[in-house]
Amino acid sequence: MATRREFLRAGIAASVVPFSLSSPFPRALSAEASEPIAIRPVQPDTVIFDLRFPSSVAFGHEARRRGIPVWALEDGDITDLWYRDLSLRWKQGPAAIAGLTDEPALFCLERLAWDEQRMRVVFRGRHRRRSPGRLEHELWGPATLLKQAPGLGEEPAWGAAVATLVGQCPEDESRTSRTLSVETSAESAGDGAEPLVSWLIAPVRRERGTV
Amino acid sequence: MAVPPGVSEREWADALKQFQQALGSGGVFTSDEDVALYRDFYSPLWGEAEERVASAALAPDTADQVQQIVRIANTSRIPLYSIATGRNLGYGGSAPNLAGSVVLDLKRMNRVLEVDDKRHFAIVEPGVSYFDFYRHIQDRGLNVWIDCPDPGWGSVIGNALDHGVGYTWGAFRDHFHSHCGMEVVLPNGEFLRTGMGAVPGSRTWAEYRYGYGPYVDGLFSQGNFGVVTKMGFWLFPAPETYLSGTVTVPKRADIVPLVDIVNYLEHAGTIGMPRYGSPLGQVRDQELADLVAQPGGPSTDDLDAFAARRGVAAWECKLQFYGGAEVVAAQWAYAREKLSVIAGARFEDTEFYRFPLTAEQAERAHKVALGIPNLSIFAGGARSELNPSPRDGHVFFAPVIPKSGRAILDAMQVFNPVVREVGFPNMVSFFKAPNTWMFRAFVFLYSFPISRSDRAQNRRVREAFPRLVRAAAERGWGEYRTPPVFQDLVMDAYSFNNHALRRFSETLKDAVDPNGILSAGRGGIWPRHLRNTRG
Ligand SMILES: Cc1cc2nc3c(=O)[nH]c(=O)nc-3n(C[C@H](O)[C@H](O)[C@H](O)COP(=O)(O)OP(=O)(O)OC[C@H]3O[C@@H](n4cnc5c(N)ncnc54)[C@H](O)[C@@H]3O)c2cc1C
Repeated sequence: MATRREFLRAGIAASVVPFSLSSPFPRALSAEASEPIAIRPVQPDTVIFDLRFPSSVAFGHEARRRGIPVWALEDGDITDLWYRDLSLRWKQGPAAIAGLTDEPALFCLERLAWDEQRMRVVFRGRHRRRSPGRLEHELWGPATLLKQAPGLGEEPAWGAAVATLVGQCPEDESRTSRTLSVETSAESAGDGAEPLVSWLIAPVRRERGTV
Repeated sequence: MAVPPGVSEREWADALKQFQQALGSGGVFTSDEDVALYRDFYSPLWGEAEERVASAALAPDTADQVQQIVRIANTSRIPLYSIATGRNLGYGGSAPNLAGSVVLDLKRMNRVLEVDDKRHFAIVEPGVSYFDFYRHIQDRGLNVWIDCPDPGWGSVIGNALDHGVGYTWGAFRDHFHSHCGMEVVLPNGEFLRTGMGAVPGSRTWAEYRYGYGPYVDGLFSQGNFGVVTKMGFWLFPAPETYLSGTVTVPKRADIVPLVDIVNYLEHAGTIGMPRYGSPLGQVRDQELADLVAQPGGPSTDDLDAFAARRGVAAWECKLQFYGGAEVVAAQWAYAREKLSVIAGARFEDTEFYRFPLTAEQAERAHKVALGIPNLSIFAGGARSELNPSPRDGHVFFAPVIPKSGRAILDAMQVFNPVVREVGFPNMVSFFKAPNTWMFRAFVFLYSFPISRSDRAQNRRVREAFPRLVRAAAERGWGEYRTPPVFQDLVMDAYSFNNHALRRFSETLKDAVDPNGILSAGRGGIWPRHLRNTRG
């Protein structure tokens, strides 16, 4: 398995090619995805994943393949990410981030993003093993995006598919939720029982009446 | 949009306009999505009608803006609830006691105003987190340490005001105790400076606590008497080295002399924070499980015999030393000599660091013991029976017990039956060590898991608390912090002389905050108009 440092180097060295509508879909997604979304997608500055979970690593690989700087968590601890990167970057202004992590990591990042730059989670997917062989994806995000959400595939390929989905998340749109269930083969339990969350944190336009 | 209690929609709209004028754009939050971020994410009332949810939030950038907000609120009778960074998880998060209060969110006021590394103090604003504070010191190469709690994202001031605690030396890890001087906006909008700060142009504000006249700082802790906008803190002069050593003792009853001697070492200034544990409690073995499962619990003799057979110590204590290399070595030698009076005591050198740490040492060290803020407490913890899925958080039951071995053994006797009866059998432990964050007392902390999807579990937690608080009170123990939903309950136990303490606080509240606009209900202190209904 790649070390965190390798990922960081790769992420920083790669030229930044933003997620774009013309990017080829990964195989897991291409069969089912329909028309690309017409609205401009949010561009994450960094994608965060967790080396402990194969699906999360697949998410990180897909983001890196698309030229997005990535940050790998070794054990779910966001301290370094926060202290060495985000706290400095968010002092300069808002910058969207995306990831596939465990829930505690998102819990911390969601609060810090709000506190620092009033950014919010605009897409959230909960991915958990309901019973042996059954994987459930519960997605919440812009309605147009979820309409296009495909079956997401098996472990760990669904991580890459979710990365693509998150990369298409349109700016500012009303949110809705959708649950997808996937039967997985019995031996594919690399992520363990820990529920994972995919997410996109981005600036939001404030509602009328709020300054 | 929610309207705060006690005001009409028109009054609220007028007040909002004034708040917007005072704060400019970007400082007033009223949308449901924004305000939802001020919910207590560890609330045992999550999603229920009684959950205490704010109506709006205000985020000032300066003390002058705080003053304007408080004046507007006082005139319009809008209830405010002050938070610094609002990360009081396990004790209420950023949610108010009184539902519909307006959260006064001070985290934009995040300036470190002064750090003096010759006189070893700092003055900071409420939005300064431990991370901010640490970075400020590191970036300037200042020769002082901070003392931080487990989560490094909290506020130096917010944590201290809620009597928060850390991990280093006794004089610094009781964060309220290590403060010196405050600036406060009173409910009428007036500025007050305490201690030497009351002398105009004071040069010793963060050096001498008491100033002249009554010492009033305590009133502003856990607070509903003012909004603290600046606070001084005494800092730990950066030590040259750190050494830790572990002592183990063989028998269950050895905890009594162990605590006595460690207390002596700590109170005499030889060691920093001691950390107790039970190696025996770590053993996973059917024979031990059977002993523990006996009705009434295991006998001391059985446990001692088992421990002796397996060569496992009943208790251990990690001692921490800070100072020059020769000094810490001599202190450890002295500690070993004192502790050798306990038959069978054994010693092990644990860690030695000379500062600055190498990257590898920094990675490995118990960071908070070295004043390094971090968030690792939220990570890595695999799910377990005590930490079930989904990991939605916990509330702390935090009784203060005497700093003695006898009290540790008593506390297990007192609380084990209650936690079993209220439906948390996995929390029963015969090997529970005390938390040693306080300098002069133990906390015997229990973390009750809450759920954002299982209301029945939260109900069980809510039902458990009164029983636990009562069981503690019958022993003469009380809790030092608690989430809003239990604050009246905890204050009820401080009932000496027909609740003289609460009545005195209420008298002050009526005099200082007659409109009851500041943190109504916090700490069980309600303003007159809400006193009968308790909100
Ligand atoms: C896993 C875990 C571990 C923890 N470990 C520790 C620990 O080691 N030590 C510890 O102490 N706590 C600990 N906590 C509890 C808590 O997270 C911290 O104490 C945290 O620092 C408190 O939040 P805060 O600093 O943001 O303070 P805030 O939430 O901002 O403030 C706390 C309270 O103080 C009052 N207040 C704050 N600012 C002002 C002001 N300017 N004027 C008037 N009143 C004000 C308010 O009543 C407020 O609710 C832990 C929690 C968790 C979940």
